Amino acid sequence: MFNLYRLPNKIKNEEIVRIIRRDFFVLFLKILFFMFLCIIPFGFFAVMLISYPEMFSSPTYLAIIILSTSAYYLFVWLFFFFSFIDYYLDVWIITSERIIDIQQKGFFSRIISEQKLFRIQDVTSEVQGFIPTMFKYGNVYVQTAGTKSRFFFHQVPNPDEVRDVIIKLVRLNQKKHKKEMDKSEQIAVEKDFKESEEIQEIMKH
Amino acid sequence: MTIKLSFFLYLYFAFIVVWAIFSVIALYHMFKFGFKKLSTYAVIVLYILVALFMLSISVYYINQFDWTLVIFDSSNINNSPYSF
Repeated sequence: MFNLYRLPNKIKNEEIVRIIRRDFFVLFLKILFFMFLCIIPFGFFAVMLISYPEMFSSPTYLAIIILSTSAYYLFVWLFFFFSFIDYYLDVWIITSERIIDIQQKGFFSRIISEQKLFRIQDVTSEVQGFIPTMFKYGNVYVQTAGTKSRFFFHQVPNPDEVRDVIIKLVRLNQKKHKKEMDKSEQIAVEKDFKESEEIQEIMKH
Repeated sequence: MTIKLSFFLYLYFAFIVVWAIFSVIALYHMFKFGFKKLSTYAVIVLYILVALFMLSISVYYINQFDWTLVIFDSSNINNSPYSF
């Protein structure tokens, strides 16, 4: 199993800031649809009882009805579980150093992408539609300088807040990296100076 | 040629085999890629419990029927005074 608190390729002093899944309303819609599928056979039986009441007294027809009802409900339950797995295994992890995007695309297909925060160039949040506005969920687009140019947070809760968190972390991370770059540049300059001094010594002799 | 009611029962068993295979695949994904949290284990246990409950109810009702009943017998058609 994947331990959310033991990240792959963990960077020194890296901390998890947010773990984000799609909004619960998305799962709620799936549950509603599942409940509708469960109710359908009752409607069907009501119609059959009115139109063909003799079917329910015949052992042959009754046996076939029992088998098909059982198969139907088992299928619906499995279908709901697949749908839940699709929701549950998609996650975005924002840490103090990077963003990790874990997407389960059907079965036997899993995509994990990560991007360092200092490479992020632009963050956009989007809430479109009546229901997303009422329930405050939407999309966040993260534009980076890497090969995967755009990260996409899909149907996440409070996208504005997510955008603010990422922007703040990006700024902090860029400041930190600038300091480290300045420091390493200084070391490189000192090294070059030392080498040129040695070269001059050699040239003297 | 006779067709017994058990024909539908065998079709149902074939469906159960396919359903079980897909259930195992789904549970495998939850175990392999699910997150090490109580909610993951709770969902797995809930799925298995509800599935077993549905299967046990199905078995209860299936046992109440006589599956050796013949629903189609071609010899009845041939012996019919109306056959050509």
